[in-house]
Amino acid sequence: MKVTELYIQEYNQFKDFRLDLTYPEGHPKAGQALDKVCFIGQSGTGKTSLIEILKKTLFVISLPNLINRLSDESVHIPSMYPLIGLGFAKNGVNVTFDNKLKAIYDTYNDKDNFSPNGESFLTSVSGLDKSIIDYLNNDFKLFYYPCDLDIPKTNKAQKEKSQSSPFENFYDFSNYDLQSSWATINEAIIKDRELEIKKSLELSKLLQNPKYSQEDIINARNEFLQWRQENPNPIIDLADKFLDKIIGRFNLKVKTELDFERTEDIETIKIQTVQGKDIPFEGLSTGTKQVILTALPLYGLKPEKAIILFDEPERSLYPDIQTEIVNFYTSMAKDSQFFFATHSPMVASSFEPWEIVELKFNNEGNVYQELYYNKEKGRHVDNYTINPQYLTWMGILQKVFDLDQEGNDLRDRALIDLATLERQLKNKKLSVEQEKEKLEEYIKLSELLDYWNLDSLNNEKN
Amino acid sequence: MKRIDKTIIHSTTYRDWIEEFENNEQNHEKYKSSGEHYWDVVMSLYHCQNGLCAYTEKDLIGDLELINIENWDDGKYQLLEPKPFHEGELEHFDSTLKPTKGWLWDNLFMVSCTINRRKSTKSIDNILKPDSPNYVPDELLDYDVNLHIFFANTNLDDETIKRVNDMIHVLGLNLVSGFRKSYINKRIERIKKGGDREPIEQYHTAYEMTLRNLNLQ
Repeated sequence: MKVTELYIQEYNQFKDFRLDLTYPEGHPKAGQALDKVCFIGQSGTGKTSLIEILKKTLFVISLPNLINRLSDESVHIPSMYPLIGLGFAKNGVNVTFDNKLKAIYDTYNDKDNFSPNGESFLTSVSGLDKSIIDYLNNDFKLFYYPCDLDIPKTNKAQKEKSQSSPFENFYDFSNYDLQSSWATINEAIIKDRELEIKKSLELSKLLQNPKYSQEDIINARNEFLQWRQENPNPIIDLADKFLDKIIGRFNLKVKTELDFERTEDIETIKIQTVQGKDIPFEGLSTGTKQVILTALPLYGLKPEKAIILFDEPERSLYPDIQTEIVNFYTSMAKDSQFFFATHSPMVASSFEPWEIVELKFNNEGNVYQELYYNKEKGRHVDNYTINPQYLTWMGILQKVFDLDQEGNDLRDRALIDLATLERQLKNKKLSVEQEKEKLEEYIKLSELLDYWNLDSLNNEKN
Repeated sequence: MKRIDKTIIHSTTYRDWIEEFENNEQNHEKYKSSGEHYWDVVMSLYHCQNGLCAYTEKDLIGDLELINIENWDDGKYQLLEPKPFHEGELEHFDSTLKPTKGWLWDNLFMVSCTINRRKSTKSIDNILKPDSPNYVPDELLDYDVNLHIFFANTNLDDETIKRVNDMIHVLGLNLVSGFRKSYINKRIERIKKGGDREPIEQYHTAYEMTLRNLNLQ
């Protein structure tokens, strides 16, 4: 189930705000829900609010008790004003807004915790059928990653989680600490270890039994190796396929040689320098902790057909990692829909143009979506004029993030001087002495500005 | 930055109101964007500026119908709800006049929001005042077709070059160089490849100077 449309009638800075979250005409997935969405916009335009609205409304629609009650047509929930509505598609197949599943919400105060039964702001649902109810009850998963993921949580937070989350498939990582995240994978590691010991013992017994031939032993060994290949050790798999690719940049790796001699050996993830020196989790950088705390549950819970919300995934990460972080996280969940709120041009570069939702204020102080296509020509892939995947970082800053200036103020002023010097040198109206002086000045300034106009130099030669 | 003719003020109610302050040598009513004549000033300026930023010539309104003369009735701009969308802000060329002469027509321009915020209270030199009768773009400005920035005409003396360059910087004429570069280069490329000349809705001065500097006129 993926969100295909978000409509907000009136809520804070949003008024009659509608987002089409499907692929446009001309796209191979035209009409289907977007696989990933990136909210960008100036602070205060409501990126985090949209993530919060999605979190709360999706949480409510997924409450088992509520869904079961709503599916009983005799239950009538009165219509209320103003409304917040969400349209859904099942399994990424687009449906007309009113024909499939449509949930309508009352406005709510985002300072308050939402009601565990959801009735405080869900006013009506249409389009529910048995398959959707089964899906929502059994398979649907909702992940929420806040921007301050790395802040260590206390045991108190753990308790709050169990009290505030009656829906076991809603993973709010603002309430998760390292141990909670590790727990999502630890069970798999223990099971794997138990199975490995069992299989090793079987192999050992076979070796000691004289009735088995050399060929039998080789076959059994190959079977063991094949099992290991098909069922890799989770911690090695996590390290090789995912985490080490990112944390390797920080000269770190996941410790995969666990001896299982003491409980502490597997009570949490172990991080080492590439040279093999253990680093305590608390000693890791904020960015490293964020990557690990995000990746662990994604690997451990292996979400499928989930909705995964990220607020500022770039936090504390160097630009090179920011360019990869979206593909890294999205590769860890199958057939899921991702929503990211970001301030980072590097993060934005991972998205197709129709996956970007740029929020802006209009003159009335309300928020609207800046369109990257000519509205009169229609929402077709060919009509999009901005594609962050094709632009340089500077191009993304200017065209997507609307940054007017190419550099800071001093550069702006110095470029004017450079252009003036260049023209004075070209005009050849200077004395020999002046020309020599201006040329030196020009070369020095060009070096500082890292700007070399080769055409101009060639012209000078000619 | 093209020369702007501000001699015609369509919002005559505003014009009469401000003339009274001037004739009586009184300070103006305090300037505020919620002022009674605010939208009249904004739309009259846009009419004079053809919907463009006074300094960068960036298109700020998109729809020229908004400044069609038919929008004025009995000396007032007929403001409809929702209010017309535009990307500009009302700018006081000489910010020192704002406290006492906040509604002075000659001191007001519509400019892009970024320009207004960046220029703020920086001191100005009337050498580059777009509505000044002495302002002749070709005599004062030149355009670098590689950097896509304005700079002083090098035929001027060194002192004037510095004054002009300082004002180019203060007014943020090159703040849109990235957008301007894309806009102009796309059109130049088409001309060089033998295509039709696309209509120009913004950055006219830069475009014309580019054509001239590349001998494409």
